Amino acid sequence: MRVDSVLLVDDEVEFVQTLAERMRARGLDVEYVTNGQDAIESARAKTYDAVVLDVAMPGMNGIETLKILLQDHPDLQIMLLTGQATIGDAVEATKLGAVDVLAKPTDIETLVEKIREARKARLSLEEKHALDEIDRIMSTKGW
Amino acid sequence: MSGSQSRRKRNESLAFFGTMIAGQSHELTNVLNIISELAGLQHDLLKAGDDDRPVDLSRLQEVASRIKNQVDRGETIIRNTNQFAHSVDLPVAVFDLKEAIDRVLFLAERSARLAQVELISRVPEESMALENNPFSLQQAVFICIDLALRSATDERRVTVGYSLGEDGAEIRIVSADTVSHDDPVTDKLGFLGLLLADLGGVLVKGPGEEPHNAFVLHLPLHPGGSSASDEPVRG
Repeated sequence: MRVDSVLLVDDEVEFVQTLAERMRARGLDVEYVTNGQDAIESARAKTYDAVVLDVAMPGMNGIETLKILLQDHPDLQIMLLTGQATIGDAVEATKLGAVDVLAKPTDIETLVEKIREARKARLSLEEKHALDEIDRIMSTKGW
Repeated sequence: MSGSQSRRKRNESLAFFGTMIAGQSHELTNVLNIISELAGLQHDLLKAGDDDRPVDLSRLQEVASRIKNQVDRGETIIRNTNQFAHSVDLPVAVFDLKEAIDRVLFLAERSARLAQVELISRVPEESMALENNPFSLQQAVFICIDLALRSATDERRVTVGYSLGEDGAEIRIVSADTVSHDDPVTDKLGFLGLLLADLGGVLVKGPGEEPHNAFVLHLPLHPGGSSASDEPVRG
């Protein structure tokens, strides 16, 4: 069975390394990068079930990265995990399409559960798009 | 200083104080988040024992040492923040210029990291006693660093150092890139001039002059100025 895949994006290397190790121990396929530009490139190279994104990062911040990731992959399940989010950040991220905004430190079991839910949501969106495409083809053929 | 200048100084000082404290609270939050994950990892490693698997003692030791490193990092943040907060205690005090500049560099490191600029210290090893307003001095140096960070383009390096001149200290903030002109709305350079006048100092060279990449601040050893016979206190 395919395991849930997740991309962690956080500029605090020690934090993201440790979180990745703990998530792998729980059976997830985890990769991490430390900036927004690398996150965009990784998401173009591989399909992830979820992306867990920090907000305050050097260069491109989490909100800017979120916008580009969702432009590239509208169905991508992105959650913000931040120690510094304001209510304004949370509202903006949700309006832009983030599925969740979590505060650091978060309970690892909760985070893993949210990633598993994200995978289900992504798969149902894929299924919906496939059915819509079948409907579209059938209607163009007059069936 | 006129009433509007005094109001501006008060507002700018409060904003500077808030920016520094908020930045360090974010840094401390990062430290605590790392410690939280490392403690979680220790817990995960110990749980192996519950499942009759051998507990990896060397890994536990490694994680404990990483926690200690983060505690040290946190202590440094708290020490610098505390010293910075106390720099408002007295309007004029005898303080070590080296410590004050080192502290500004430490506090500005977060801004530099987020701006992807390397902040380089060329601060001499020896101490230099100065009698002045330590908070305003830190604010003046930070304004220069901040303008240099905001203007960084290609090289993305800013160097900060000082030397002892005949009648005071000369602080230099030099960017490897051209420092673009100040935003006329915020007019930080205008405010820098005001701060320096209050400190009895002067902006010897600003980014408006060739090669448009450096600030040179001159400060007397004492608030009322000093003569060449004044001997700096060296540590």
